[in-house]
Amino acid sequence: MIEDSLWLITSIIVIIILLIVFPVMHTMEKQDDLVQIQLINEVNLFLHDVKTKGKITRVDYEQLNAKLARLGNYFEVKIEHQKRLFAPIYDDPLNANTFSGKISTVYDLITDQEIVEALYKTGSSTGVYYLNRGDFVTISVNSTLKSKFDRMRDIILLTSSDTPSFFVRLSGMVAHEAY
Amino acid sequence: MKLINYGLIGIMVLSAIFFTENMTVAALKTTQYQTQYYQLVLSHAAEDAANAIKTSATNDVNKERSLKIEQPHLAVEAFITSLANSLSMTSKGDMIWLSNFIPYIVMVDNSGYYIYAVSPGEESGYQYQRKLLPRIDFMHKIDDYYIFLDDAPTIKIMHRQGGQWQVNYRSLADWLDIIDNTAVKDFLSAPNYKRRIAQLKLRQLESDLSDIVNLHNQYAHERGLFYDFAIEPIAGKWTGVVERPTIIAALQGMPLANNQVFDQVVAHYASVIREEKYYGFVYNGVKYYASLDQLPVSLHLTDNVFFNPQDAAKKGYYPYE
Repeated sequence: MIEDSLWLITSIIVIIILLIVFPVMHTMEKQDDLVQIQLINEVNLFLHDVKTKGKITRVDYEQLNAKLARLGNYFEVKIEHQKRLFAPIYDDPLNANTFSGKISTVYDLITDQEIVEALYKTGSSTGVYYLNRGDFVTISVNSTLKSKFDRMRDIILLTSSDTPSFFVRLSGMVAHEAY
Repeated sequence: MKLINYGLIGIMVLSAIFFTENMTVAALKTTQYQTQYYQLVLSHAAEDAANAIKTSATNDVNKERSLKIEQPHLAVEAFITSLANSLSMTSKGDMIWLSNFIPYIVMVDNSGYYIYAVSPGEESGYQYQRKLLPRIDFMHKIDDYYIFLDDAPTIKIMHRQGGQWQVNYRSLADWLDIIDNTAVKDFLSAPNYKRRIAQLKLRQLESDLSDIVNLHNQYAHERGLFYDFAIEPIAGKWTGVVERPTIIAALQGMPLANNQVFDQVVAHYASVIREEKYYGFVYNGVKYYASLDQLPVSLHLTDNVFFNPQDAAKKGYYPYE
């Protein structure tokens, strides 16, 4: 009798898992796939925009954040600007007569914090950050919260990972200065 | 209850099959995602390199233009930096690791091409030296004649005469008048000459790229990377790559999930921007601006150079007609 009850309980648990948990997980996994695709599309569009215009406006930046917020997670957007600079090469840097006639290209890294500060600078009505042709811009976006699918999987498999559920990083060179 | 027991056992077996299948699908999905991501990153890198390509134009009397790539190293630098930035491989070690997967970067223009690849027989420490090889001209050999394949109407031919090599530039009509070699004459006077030279250019490019890929595979095997990769024949398919300045690059053997690798060849046209300059000058006491071909011959160029007519007008110069 006890054995029969155990079989019954087990069968109920299995039925719940098969009829409720798996379909829900499957739907959440599909949702994650769509979010990841949409995330790549949005970042790609933003990067194309920056590469083509040579500038980041406050409006564009806020629109990107708004679009990402609609994806149902919290996202951290990081923009890095590698500003191209040309430095003359002197055989002896202290002697102006030793200019070799050559130059070297160096990239000055401007962090996300500096870019956001420039966009929201007090007194700035325009909120535009300018880049030059030949500069590189890198945009990385990662989710700060775990997706529902990841949380559910962690519970079922008794695991825990620090990897963000969604992540994308794209980089490109500024092609035009449309300003 | 026996029915429930058998039912449960059946469900367990089906679940095991389902889990196995699900794992396979998950691995395939990861591979597919990584492939799409690499394709996107690669297309950005190719676009950046194409934008970094500088061209110089040679106009001839018929106003036809042959474009030549200048400073090809800028395109190589743009391609690798863009790729490395996207893949978070910006340290020197990472860049070396990444370059193992780039067998070549080629910049093609109307008359020749530059290849950035592993250089044969040269080693720098533990790494083969990757470098920009000297420019290679498109050419076709018939007997003792080397015909340079260019889109410009003036044709360059190098031939051996009196034990010495001579290089001459002449129009097609002039060459047909003076040349006495029947095979060369037939080649130049063929009705499909333009299409023929496009095919010959592609064949030469394909042959060189094939050699480069073989060398890269050999190099990779020596470094412990085992993959074989061969570009698909490009002749006949990619005719566009020899019609205007283009960058072609390959990424091969990039590891993906599920023991798969990513192999892809990408091509991107260079954007050719004509940078017109406007010169300011004073004529009959009035300040004018004009482009070089509109400038009166009698006038000396001034230091007032503008990159667009708006800037010239802002400085008080009128358009010269």
